[in-house]
Amino acid sequence: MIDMTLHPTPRWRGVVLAQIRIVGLVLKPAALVVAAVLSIGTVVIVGEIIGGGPGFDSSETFPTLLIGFLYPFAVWRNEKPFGPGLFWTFPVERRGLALAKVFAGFVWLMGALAVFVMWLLALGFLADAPPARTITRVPVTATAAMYLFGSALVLGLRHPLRWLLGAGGVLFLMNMLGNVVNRPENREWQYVPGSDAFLSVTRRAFAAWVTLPEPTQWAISTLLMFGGGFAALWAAASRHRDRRRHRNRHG
Amino acid sequence: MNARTESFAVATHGLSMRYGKQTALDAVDLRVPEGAVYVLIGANGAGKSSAMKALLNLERADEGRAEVFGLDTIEDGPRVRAQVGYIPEAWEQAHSWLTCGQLIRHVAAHYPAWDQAYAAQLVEIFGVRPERKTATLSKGESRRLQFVLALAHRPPLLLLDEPADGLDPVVRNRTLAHLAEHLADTPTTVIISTHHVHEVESLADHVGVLDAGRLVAQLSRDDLRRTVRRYRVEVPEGWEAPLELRTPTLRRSRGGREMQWTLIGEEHDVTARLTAAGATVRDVTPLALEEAVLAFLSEEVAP
Amino acid sequence: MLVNLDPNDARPLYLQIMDEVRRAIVVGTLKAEDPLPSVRELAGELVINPRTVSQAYQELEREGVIYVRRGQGTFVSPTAKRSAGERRSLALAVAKRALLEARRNGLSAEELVMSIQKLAAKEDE
Repeated sequence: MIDMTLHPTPRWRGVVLAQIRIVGLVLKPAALVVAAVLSIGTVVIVGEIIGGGPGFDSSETFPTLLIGFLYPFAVWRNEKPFGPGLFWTFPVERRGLALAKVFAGFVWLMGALAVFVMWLLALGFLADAPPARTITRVPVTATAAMYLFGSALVLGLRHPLRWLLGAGGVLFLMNMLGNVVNRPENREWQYVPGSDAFLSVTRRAFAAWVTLPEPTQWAISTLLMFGGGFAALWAAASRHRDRRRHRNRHG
Repeated sequence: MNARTESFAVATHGLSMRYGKQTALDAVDLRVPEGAVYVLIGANGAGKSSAMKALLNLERADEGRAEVFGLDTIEDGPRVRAQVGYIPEAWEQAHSWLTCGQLIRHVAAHYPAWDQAYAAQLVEIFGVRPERKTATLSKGESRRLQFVLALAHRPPLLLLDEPADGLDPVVRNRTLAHLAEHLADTPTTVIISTHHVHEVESLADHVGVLDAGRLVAQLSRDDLRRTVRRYRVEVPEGWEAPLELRTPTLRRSRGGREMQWTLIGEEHDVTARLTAAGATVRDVTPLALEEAVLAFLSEEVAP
Repeated sequence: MLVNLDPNDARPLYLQIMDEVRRAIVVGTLKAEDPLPSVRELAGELVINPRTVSQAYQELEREGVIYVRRGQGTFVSPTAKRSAGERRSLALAVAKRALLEARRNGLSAEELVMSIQKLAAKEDE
């Protein structure tokens, strides 16, 4: 008898669409700023191209990686994953709800990247740059993977910025330590790996991945990065699930 | 579903919650009958908000469990929340960059039972201006917006945490009047928490009293009126109350040979016991809700 | 119809509402076949639980003071005139309250009645 009068829970489709809409609204101010900067850039670059200058021809990749990593902070702005809020009162399983928001952010990120690539292609077309090279300058997959890691950080840690600063500090200290102990006169300490070692390995893995070397290597790195990203994200989102055994506080 | 708790909209079983060393809830057994307007009374920090948050799985209890319409609040969290309209005591305006209209639309997307026409009506009634940014709302205005959000899907359960807080008397009265009209149209169970009993007194038909996390009283308004009364008695010189009378004593005061007690129990029982003890009952008065509740909260509550 | 509730009155609200309806009928502000406010209206106006209003109406209906016309609302019964019976029960209710107050002040019923008569005589002068 009671069950007949109970209200239903929403379908996931509606929840995801609502998140896409709301994340779009959150990002709107920032998107307007970016659009303004790009417009000015367009005017400047087109002017240079018409004037016969070098304009637009470089092989540098764009730092969209970093954007992908920091972008989740913007997506979750105002809706603190660990704070009290309207978000967690919705009649939706919370791990799924968190992932829906991450997905919504992903949709907008990919949309923005697509627009950015189109913009580059258009300018490249004007400047007679080969399209293939233009496209390789935007590391789309790496950006997507970084978005996963960034989202995991925001969702999984109560104080992600503190953790980030802490991790940065530790690396810095290791570096200093490495520089000190790896001096030639301290031979017995030589094998202590400094952050140099760590960084160079990471850098090499990244470089292999970002700059499209051979396909198999690329595929393996991508798989690893996405696998790791998804695993981290799942673990992070699971901190918020409804049936979590440990104590959670969203109130 | 537990047959015993089936007819209760909300039932908690030994719900306990602690923040560090501080006890927010201590083995609380709430029983809120379906269709009741249950007023949860207690001082600030008595555990009212914690109890509501436990129902929404916003905070996890350390011990015990809670059911809403027979659904476990942890196992069936989403379904439980689909039945609830919630007005929190306070939280920072999370969506400050949105307009009221955008926020209403966003919340609506999560409730299939959302009544579009009724929502528009509520916006009108509560004087919410959809084009305004939520960040610019005063406390009273955002309270009214919250009422629209909480009522528009006609939830079977309303959890109102200090709903009249921050409203001036005129707006408070109007808001509660709208709530009364809503209840006339929609079968709803309501839990209202407050530390100002008189503000919501006229709506209450059930009462729970929380004192430092313990539920010290829980009864219907009628039972409260019947069983908590003030007795004025005349006693002989040097008269001492027999022990058996001291136990249910809530409050007593003495002036000469006249004593005034607030006692719990059926009137004829209490009167009979007083008479048997040698006192003459002059007058028995039922108490207004606030007085009766104060009696439970007074320091003289019997152990 | 004007309904006034006294927050300091310890009587249940539904009884107060019933008395107010009876009073309106006796005084003549409510006549036979007059419509009563709906439960929703009265609950909103008085800021009380709609169930309280329903309870009062149900009791009054059972006593034959009012009746419900399906889909149209609640109305004063054609029989509920300013009958002697209604007046008597209203007078009894008032007297009961006065008597209670008297007892609390240690006065007897006789003293109360005498005082009332004295007062009434003074007013008539």
